Amino acid sequence: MNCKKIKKLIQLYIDQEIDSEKTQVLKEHLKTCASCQREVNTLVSLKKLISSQEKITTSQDFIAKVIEKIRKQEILKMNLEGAAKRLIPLPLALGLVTFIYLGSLQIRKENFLEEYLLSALDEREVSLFIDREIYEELF
Amino acid sequence: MVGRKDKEILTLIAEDKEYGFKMLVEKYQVQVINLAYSLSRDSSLAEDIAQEVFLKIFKKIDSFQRKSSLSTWIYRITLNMSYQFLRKRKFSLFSPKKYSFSPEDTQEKKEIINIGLSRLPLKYRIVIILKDLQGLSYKEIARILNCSMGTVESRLFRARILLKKILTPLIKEGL
Ligand SMILES: [Zn+2]
Repeated sequence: MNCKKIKKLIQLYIDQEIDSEKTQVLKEHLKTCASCQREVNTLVSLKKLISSQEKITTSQDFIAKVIEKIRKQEILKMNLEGAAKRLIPLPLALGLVTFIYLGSLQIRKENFLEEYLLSALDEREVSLFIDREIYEELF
Repeated sequence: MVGRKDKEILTLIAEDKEYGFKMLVEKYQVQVINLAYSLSRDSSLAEDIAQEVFLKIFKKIDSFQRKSSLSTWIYRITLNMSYQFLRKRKFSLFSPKKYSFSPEDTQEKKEIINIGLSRLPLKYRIVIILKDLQGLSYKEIARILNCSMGTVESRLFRARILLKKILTPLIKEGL
């Protein structure tokens, strides 16, 4: 096997995604190839440094804070629904909803343009833009 | 992963939403905040993102279809939320900073890796973070990103080549 193919096996090896057959092939190759040995060393140390990046923890009252936020939003929602039922007649409410919806479409359109222009400036921004489609299907 | 099994958590949520939800937060908070942190490199922002993630989970959990596993779903929401927060701050991402290093000790090396990662296009950064920082398998990453394992493999391969290219001028003496 040539070095190019071996490089893929090296990745599988350091990611612990390699099977025993391929491990054997890799081991045999490494016995005689200094360049691929160096590649293993580089990738292993790279991986080690990445995985030893600083880890953080949530604040002590994290769960309490989240629950509090949920309560606030639920109360707000209940109040709004109640107020809407009491105060706004149905045709007016429908009109209001449509108005708000159209308004938000307009805002989205503006954001879209802004994003597009910004994304053209920097490779990282372009990739942010593309990746969005992958994640957005969720919402 | 610590704590209860996902299945058990989902059952608990169906019985007593708030109690089950607390179990869910307990189990996943460290993963969520660290994923947000590795993308934002800002610990207080990561905490804000994590809070919004769990808020969203609480709202959406009733309609969770179980098409994916709970952890896949949570990872996806976290990536999305981090992305939304980072977009708001995109101007700060532009500011070019100058760094000068003599990469002698490990701390500085880690710092350089950080900079290297931050310069990696997001789609490559994400696979590195999910693999090397979160320690997920190709299979799990493929599920989260909704792509094939082959794509994960080739994207990681490309990511590491790019990262090495970015790091080479930063670390003259080699890793
Ligand atoms: Zn070789």
